Amino acid sequence: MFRKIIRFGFVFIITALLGILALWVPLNAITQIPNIRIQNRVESKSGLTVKEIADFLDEKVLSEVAFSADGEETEVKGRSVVPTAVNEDYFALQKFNLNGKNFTESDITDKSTKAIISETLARKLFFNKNAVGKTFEMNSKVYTVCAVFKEYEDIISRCSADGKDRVFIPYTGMDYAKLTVDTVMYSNTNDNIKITLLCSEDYSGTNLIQKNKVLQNFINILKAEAFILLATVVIKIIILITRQVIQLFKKEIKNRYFAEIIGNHKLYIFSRVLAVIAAAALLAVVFIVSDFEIYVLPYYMAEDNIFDIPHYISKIIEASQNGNSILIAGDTYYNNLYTLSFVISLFSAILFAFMIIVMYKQILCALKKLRKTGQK
Amino acid sequence: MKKKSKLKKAIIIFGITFLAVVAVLTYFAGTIEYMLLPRVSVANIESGQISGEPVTEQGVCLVPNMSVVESDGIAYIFILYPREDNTAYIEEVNVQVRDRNNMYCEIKLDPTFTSYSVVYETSRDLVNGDKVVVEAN
Repeated sequence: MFRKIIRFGFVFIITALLGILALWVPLNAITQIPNIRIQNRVESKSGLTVKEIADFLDEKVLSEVAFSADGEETEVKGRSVVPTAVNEDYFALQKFNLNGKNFTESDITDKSTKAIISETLARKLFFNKNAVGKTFEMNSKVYTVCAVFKEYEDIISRCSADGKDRVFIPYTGMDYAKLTVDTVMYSNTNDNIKITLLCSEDYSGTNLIQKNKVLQNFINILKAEAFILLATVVIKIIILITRQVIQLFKKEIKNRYFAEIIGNHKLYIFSRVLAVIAAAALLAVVFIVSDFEIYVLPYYMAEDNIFDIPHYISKIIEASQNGNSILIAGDTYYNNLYTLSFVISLFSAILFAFMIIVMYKQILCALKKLRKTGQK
Repeated sequence: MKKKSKLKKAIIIFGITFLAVVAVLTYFAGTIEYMLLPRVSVANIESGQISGEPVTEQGVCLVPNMSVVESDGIAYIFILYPREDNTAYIEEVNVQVRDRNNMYCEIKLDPTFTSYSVVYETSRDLVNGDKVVVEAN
C-alpha cells in the first residue's frame, strides 16, 4: 500500500511538472515574440543598405516599420560589443520593457548619440542596471544611455540569444551609409506589404503572428487534455449515479408503481438527477468557454484531404530542410526562441498526455480496490 | 478526547519542525548571506601616467578602463575596504579622468585612496556601501 502511494505521488509530481513545463514554455515565448512580420537577411546575400531602406520608408510614408543593422564588433571599456543601428520604431514594435526613454524621430534627425543597452551590458559597463544618463566611449564617440531593457533570463531565452552584447544606436548616430540591414520588422498592415516585396530577394521572411498562433496551439492542446480528463471523471460519476438510481428502481419496481417509487424517494432521486444535470452542465460550460482551436500554418495545410498524413510529413521535412539551408545574419533571437519553444512544447505535451493516462489508470485501480474492500 | 490528543500531537510536530528550520537557518545564516553577496573582481590602483612619464602630481594613477563609470561629466570608481572574512565594503569615489587608452584610464583621485583596490567587474548590481565578495584573480 505504502509503495503504491509513493508510486502515485511520484507519477503525480512528474505529471504536474510536465504540465507546468508544457504550459510555461509556449506562454514564455508568446510573451516575448511580438505580433509582427520579420525579414532576416540571408547571410550569403548582399541585402539592402540602411540608406536605401531609410529612403524607401521616407518616400512611401510607411509607419510601424523598424530595421536594424549590426556594425562591426568593437570595444567599450575593454568589452566587445556590437553597435547596432536602428530606427525609432525598433523598440516600439517589440515587447521590450524599457527603463528610460525610447528613441524618437528627433533623435534620428538630430543624429543624436544616445544608446539603449541591455541590463546585462549595463551591469558590465556601469556595475548597475540603472544606467540611464551614464556615458561611454565607442568608436571615438561619446554615447549617453537613454534606456535600459530587461532581458529574459530563463534557460530557453538564454539559449536562444547569440551571446552578443548589442549597443542600439539611432542609425544617424553612427556611420550608417554602408551598413547592411540585417533585420526588417513591420506590423501586418496592407501598406507594409511593400516591405515584403522589397525584401523578397535577399531576405528570409517570417510571420511571427503565425508563429504565436502555433505556440498558442500547445496551450489549447493542454486545455483539451485537461478537459478530456475532466470529462472522463465527470462521465464516470454520471454513470455511477445513474446506476444507483436504476438499481433502486429495479429493486422496487416488482412491488410498486413507477410514480409511487418516485414519490417515496423524492429527495434521493431529485438530488441524483440534480447532480447529473449539474455535472453535465459543468462539462458543457467548460467546453463552451475553453478554446480548443488548433491553428495549422497555411503552408502545411492539405488541399483536399485533411487526413493526408504523407503530405504533412513531406511538408515538415521540406520545411526543416529549407530552414537548415538558410543561414541568416544579424539577431536571430526570435527564430531560435520559436524553434526551441516549439520542440520543448511538443515533447512536453506528448509526455504530459502519456503521464495523464498513467495517472488515470492508477486512480481507476485504486478506486476498484477501494470498492472491493468496501463490498467485503 | 481522541481529537484533542491528535491536535496536541500536530501542534507539537509543527513546533518541533519550526524550531528545527529556524535552527538550521540560524546556523547557516552566514553561509547564505555569503552566497547572496555580489562577486567582484578587483585590480590595484597603480601609480603612473598613460604617456609613461614619471608622476609628478599626487593622486595621479592608472586604473582599468572598465572600472571607471561616467555620468553627466562626473566620473567615479568603486574602491574596496577589505575585511578579514574575504568580504569587503565598496565606496564610490569621484575621480577626474585625464586620459585613457584601450586598457587603462589615467585618473586623478584623493591621494588617501591610491593604496586601495578598484572594482572592475561584478556579478550583481553595486551601490555605494555594499558588502561584496572579492573573487580571486
